[in-house]
Amino acid sequence: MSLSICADCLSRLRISHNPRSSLAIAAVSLTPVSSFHSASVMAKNNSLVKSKKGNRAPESKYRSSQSAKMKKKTRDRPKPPPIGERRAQRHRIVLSNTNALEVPSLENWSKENMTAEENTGRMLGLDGALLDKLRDCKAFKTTQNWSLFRRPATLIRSETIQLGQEIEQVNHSQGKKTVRHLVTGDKASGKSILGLQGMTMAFMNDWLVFNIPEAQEFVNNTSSYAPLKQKDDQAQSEQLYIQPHLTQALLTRALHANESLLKTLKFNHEFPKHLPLKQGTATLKDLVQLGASDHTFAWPAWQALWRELSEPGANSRPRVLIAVDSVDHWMGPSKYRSADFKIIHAHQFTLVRQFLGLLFAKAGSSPPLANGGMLLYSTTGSNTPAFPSFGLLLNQMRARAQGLDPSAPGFPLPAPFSKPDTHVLELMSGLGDVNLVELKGLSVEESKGYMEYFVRSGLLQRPLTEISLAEFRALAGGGVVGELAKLGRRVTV
Amino acid sequence: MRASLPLLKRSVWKGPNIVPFPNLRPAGSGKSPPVIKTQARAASILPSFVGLRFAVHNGKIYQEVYITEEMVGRKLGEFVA
Amino acid sequence: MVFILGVNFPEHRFIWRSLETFFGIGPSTRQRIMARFHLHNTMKVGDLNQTQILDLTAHLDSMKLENHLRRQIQQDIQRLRDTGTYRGRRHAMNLPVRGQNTRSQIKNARKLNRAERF
Repeated sequence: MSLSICADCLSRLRISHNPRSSLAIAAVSLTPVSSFHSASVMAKNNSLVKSKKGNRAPESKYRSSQSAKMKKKTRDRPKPPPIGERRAQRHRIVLSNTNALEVPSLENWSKENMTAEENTGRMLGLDGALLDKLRDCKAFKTTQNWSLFRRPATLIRSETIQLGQEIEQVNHSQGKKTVRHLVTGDKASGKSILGLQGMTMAFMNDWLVFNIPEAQEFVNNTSSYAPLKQKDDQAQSEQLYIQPHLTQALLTRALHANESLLKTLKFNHEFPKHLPLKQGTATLKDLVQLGASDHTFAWPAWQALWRELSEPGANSRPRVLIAVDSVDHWMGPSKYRSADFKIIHAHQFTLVRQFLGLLFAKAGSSPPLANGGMLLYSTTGSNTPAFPSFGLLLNQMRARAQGLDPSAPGFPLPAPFSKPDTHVLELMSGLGDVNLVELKGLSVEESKGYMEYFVRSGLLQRPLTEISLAEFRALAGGGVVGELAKLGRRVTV
Repeated sequence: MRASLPLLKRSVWKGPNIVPFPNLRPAGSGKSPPVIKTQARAASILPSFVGLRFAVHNGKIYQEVYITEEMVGRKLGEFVA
Repeated sequence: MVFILGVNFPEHRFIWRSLETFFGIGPSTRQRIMARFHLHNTMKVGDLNQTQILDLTAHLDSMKLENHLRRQIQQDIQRLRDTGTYRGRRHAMNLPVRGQNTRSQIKNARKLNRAERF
C-alpha cells in the first residue's frame, strides 16, 4: 500500500517546525514503494542516508524543486555509424541474392552471341570480368533490381540487338565511323539499362569506355569548379569553367574500367609539359592514373588523354564509347555562380561542352571521334528538369526522324516572343546525324521472357499464362520494363 | 548588393525636391533673418538653409526648426511632429 | 581547426555555415562571397587551401562585420536622435519607427527598437 498523495506535498500544511522527519519515517513504515510518485521514496532515501552519517539533514523550510534532487537518467543512445558509412550503404550495389533461385538455363552474354537475333526477349547473364568493369565504371544503379536475383542478367530487347549491330558495323568499318544516339523514353523504360548494355558490348569488343553515370553532378553546385584561364584571342568569348574533382572522378572510372587496355597504349604525341610522367616508358595508363590520383592534374591529364585519343598518330587507337546518363541536366542554367554572381550555364563547363559538342557535332566538320566509336547519351525520366528549349530540341529530332524538312511549315520552332536558351539553340545546327532512340514498352515476346525470369527466380509465384501476362502488360503501361519489374517483385499472398 | 534606403525613396532623375522659398535670405547677413513659415514638409534641406529658422507645419501648428549642418539632404518634415 | 578572420572553425563544418556565424553575413551575402571565390555549396572548411583562406579572410576583413557593424548601427540611431528627427524620437521611445499603427501589435518593436542595442 502506498500513500495516494505525495507526502512532501503535505508539507505546506505543516505547522510545527520539525514535522518532516516524522513524516518521512511514517512513509517508510508504510513501505511506500510507489514508482508513480517519487517524493516519498526520495524522502525515505534521504533520511536513511543522512541517518547513517549520524547527523540530520539541515531542515529546509521550503520545498525545493524535485528535479534538482533527482539525478538525470543517462540514456543509452545507439552509436551513430562512422562517417561515410550511411552514404556507402546508400550507394552500395548488390549484384547477387542467395535467396533467389538459380536459373539453370541462363546463358552468358558474350561477344559471340552479342547480336544473335534469336536472343531477343531472353535474359542473358553477365559474368566475371565484365561485371568488374561495369562496376568500376559505375554502370549499375541502385534502382535497377540487381539485388533480387541470384546472378546479374539483362534482358535483350530489340534495341539492344540494334545497338550491337551498330557496334559491329563500327568495328568492321575502315573509316572512322561514329554512331550517335540520344536515348529518351518514359520513366523506368530502360534507358539507363540500355546504356549499361551498350557499355557491356563495348567492353566485349575491347573499346575504351568513358561513363558519366549522373550528369546532374556537373551542374548542382556540389563539386569544385574554377575558371579556365583563356588565351588572349579567346578573351571575347564567354568564360569557361573546369571541374577538377569531377574530371578526377571521370578519370578514375576510366582507369579502373579500362586498365588493361590503357596499359597497351603508347604516347603518340609529345609529352604534355608540367605533368610528372616518365619520358619514354609511360603509357596512357600512367597519364590517366596521374589524373585520377590528384585533382590538380586531372584537367591537364584529361586534355592530354583526349588529344592522344582523338588526333591520329603512329599508334592506332581503340574505338571509344562515351555514355552519359540523364543528359537533360546539361541543357540549362546550372546552380553554380560566377565570381560576379551571374548564373553559369551548364555549357560553360568544359567537360559538358566537350561531351555535348561530340554528340551535336556541326555538320561538315570532321567526325567527332577520330577513331570511330559510339556516343550513347540518355535522358532521365524520373528527375527531369524543366528546360523547354531541350524539349524543343527533342521535338525537332522527332520531326526529323519522321522525315520532316527543317524548312517545312510544321517543323517545331521556338514559340514567338519566348526566350529560348541560346546555348541549347546552338546545338540545333548539329542535330543532323544524331539518332533519337525512343524507348517504349516491351513487346509481348520480350515481356514474356522478362516475366518468366521472375517466375524462374522464384520471385513471382504464380504461373505465367497469356492472360496474366496481358494483365501485367496492361498494368505496366503497355510493358514499361521498370513497371513490369515492380509487378514481378510484388509479394503476392 | 541592395541600394541603401535613402536611394530607394525617390527616383534619381527627378533630383531633390527643391522648393523655391520666396523670402530666402542667407543666414548671418546682418540681423537674424525672418522665420520662414511653410507647409512644404517634403522640401529637401539645401546647404544654403543652414542657420535659418523655419516654421514647419505639423498638421496643426507651425513648429520652429533651426537648421544645422547635419540636417542637409533630409526633409523639413522629418524634424517636426 | 581553420582560422578565418580570427575565429577557429572545425574542419568538418560546411563553409556556408561557418560564414553565416559572423554578424553581418546572411544567406545572400554568403552566396556572393562563395561565388566570388568559386567555392561550391558542399565544401567543408577543411577543403580550403591556404591561399583560399587568406583570400577569404582578406575579403571579410574589408567588410563591415561583427562589432564594427554593431557600432555603425548604434551610430546611425544616435545620429537620428541628435538631429532631433521623428525617427530618432521613436527609437528613443522604443516604438515603431516607420509609421506603423501602435494601437496593438507592437510588442516586438517595444522589445527591439532600442536606441541602445546589443
